[in-house]
Amino acid sequence: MVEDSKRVQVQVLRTDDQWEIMQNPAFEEAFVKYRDQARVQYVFLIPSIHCRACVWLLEKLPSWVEGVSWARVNLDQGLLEVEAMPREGQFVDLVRHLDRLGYSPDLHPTKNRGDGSSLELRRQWMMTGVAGFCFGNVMLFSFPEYLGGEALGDGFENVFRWLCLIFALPTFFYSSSSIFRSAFLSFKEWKPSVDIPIALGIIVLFVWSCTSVILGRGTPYFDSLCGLVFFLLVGRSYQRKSFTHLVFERDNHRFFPLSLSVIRKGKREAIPLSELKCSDHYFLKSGGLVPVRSHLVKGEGVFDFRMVTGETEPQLKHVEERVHAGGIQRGGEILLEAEEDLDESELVRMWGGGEERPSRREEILDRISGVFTLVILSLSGFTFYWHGMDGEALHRACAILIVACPCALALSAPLTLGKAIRALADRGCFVRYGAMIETLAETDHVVFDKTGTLTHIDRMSGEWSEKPLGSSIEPLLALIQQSGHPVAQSLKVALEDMRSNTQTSPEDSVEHFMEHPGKGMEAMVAGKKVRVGSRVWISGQAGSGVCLELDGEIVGVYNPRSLLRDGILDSLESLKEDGVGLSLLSGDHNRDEELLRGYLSAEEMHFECSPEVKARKIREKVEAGKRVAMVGDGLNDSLAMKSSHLGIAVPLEDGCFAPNSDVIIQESELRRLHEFRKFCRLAVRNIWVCLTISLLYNMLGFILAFSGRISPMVCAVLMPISALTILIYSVGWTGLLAKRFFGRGQ
Amino acid sequence: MEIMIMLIAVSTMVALIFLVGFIWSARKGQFDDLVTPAVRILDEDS
Repeated sequence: MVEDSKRVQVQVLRTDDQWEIMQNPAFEEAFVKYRDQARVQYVFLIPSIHCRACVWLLEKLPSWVEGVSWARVNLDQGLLEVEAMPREGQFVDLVRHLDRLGYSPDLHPTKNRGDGSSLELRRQWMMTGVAGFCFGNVMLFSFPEYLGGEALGDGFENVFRWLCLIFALPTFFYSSSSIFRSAFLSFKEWKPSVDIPIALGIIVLFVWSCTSVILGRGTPYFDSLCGLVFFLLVGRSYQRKSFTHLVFERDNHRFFPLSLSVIRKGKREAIPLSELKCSDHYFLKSGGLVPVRSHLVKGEGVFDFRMVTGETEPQLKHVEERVHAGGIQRGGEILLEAEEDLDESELVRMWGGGEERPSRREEILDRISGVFTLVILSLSGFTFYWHGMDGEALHRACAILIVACPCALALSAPLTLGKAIRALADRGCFVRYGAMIETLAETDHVVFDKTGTLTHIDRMSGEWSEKPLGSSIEPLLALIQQSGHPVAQSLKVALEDMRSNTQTSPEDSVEHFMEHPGKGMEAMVAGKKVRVGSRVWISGQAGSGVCLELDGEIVGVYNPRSLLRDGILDSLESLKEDGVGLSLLSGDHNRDEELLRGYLSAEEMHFECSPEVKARKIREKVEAGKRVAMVGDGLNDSLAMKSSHLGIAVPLEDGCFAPNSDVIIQESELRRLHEFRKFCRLAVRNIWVCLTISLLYNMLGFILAFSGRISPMVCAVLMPISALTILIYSVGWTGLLAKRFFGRGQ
Repeated sequence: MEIMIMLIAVSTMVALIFLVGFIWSARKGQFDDLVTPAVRILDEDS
């Protein structure tokens, strides 16, 4: 049964500029994997691919599109490879057909088109395969050694030993090469890494065993060597199998427009966004994102800056007024003049670049492995000294080095964390790296954004300060139904609640409907003029509230309120019970303060914060020694997330964009934040248990080695058993833990 | 017991053939995508 991969549906609307850009051969080249006289192979990233039916449908592409020889889907990565005839317009045709099928390809430039990583993957497959091959053969050839050696007669014992040596060579020189490289790099920088004791163990085993065979005395341990390397590589393959990679594949560029209409040499033409320069005049349609700081040249601009400041009220801008990058145009088409180049754009600065985040790859085990290595080396030195520093003592000292199994060290964390990531992903919480599970577990202060994070961004509630009479409800509803604005939606529900239930949808005719962004809407309903909008616009007076006007008379006033997400207050309560500090940093006004009082103290709620202020407040907490996690929904939180230890993003409906975030939580699952954190703490505790188990094995091995009772048989048994125990415990127990902790889950 | 030498030689040869086969298929990219081929077998032949 193939599980549906975790995808987010992306609605793609193509503009005329984009179609024009697609005809540019330079643009097309970014998607070409291979090209020659007879054929061209394209690779498309299609985020909507998520199941078997998608594979079936898309691989039938040749029957729908002319010139296509074959189409192949990679379900895991969401890629479509198409081979077609190299004719002009083929690329555009393909995109058009894919759009029509509902599988719009993502045409944004990305570094990840799959090719570089597949080479690396193949190499790892081969290393693991070779290691497995050698392991099997060496174990077989080690049997005479286990059985005492004399059973086959003198000459043969040697034959088998040499066979073991020969078959161990590929393991040592080929399969272990990645371990050696990583250990050497860490050693050079004097940084502890779990690969150092492992590399040490492998080298000691190899050198010891080779001298045994060549000199003809002592016992070789090639079986342990090959077993160790094989188990390690298998463990690493499991860790590498990423369950969440596509969710995080999205980067900043996805939010920028693909292309812009600019005026060059007096003509209007489409250019790729990267070519936008200072002083260019460019057009922006409704829904378009302002890519660089600009000023308005022509048209009426109504900008929604919630991406940048979190403020949901749109702002009106006139000609000559400056517009900051990140605003989204909600009015009609306008003309702007760019005030900076794209690379210097405020957005690029805020989303990308800037200070390096503190390293996220540090795992617990790296720290422990430094200690582990030192302890083993000292125990080994001690054994050598204790037993009189002769040949026998050397044997025992080396036995210590050999039997010290770093298996658990290398396997327990990746396996447990890998399983934990998977368990969380199944429940709507996507963690980028294993180390972040540790960070989430240690979090003792959570900072929330308000709009879109704690509150819904597309739904609102509200209350009447003046209820309309029954007779006016119908025409008002007729008007309101025309709009998709969240306030309109909530008004619709409020009005519908008020009317008597036998009525069906209004049949009044609606004419001359007009929506004025930032102000309101109006229409003629059954001959009467109906208007709904802000108080300022309707009556000219200052004040809040949405006024409903029928025939020039105000018949009702409605006050919309932000709607808190279901269950989020309980989650805040649970977090507080767990000892986690809470605070709120919002770019919006403080109108919803009362909703949250009682859960958050007044000092910990700050409103009208710019991104820089948010980042500063978080830094203050970090410097005070807290482990801070920041929960936000948009680009305006990206700067703040960089300053925290852990960035948690709650994706906007428009698409999964998670700037600088380490964790993505689906909006419906945010109320389980306290559960996710607790689970991470248990998972981390699991790792410690694994280490304890491994410690017991190691102590047993040490005792045996110290007293001279070690033999290849003992080693060959001890090592796989300890590895297997760790494997079962970390993967199995974590899985059981997830089931018990989360209940049935999804 | 001399027969063992020949047995070992022959079995090693066979095993090496398989190893070479594995390496060849890995280099050809047959292990790149393990998920989709499993799904494709259930489709009808077109």
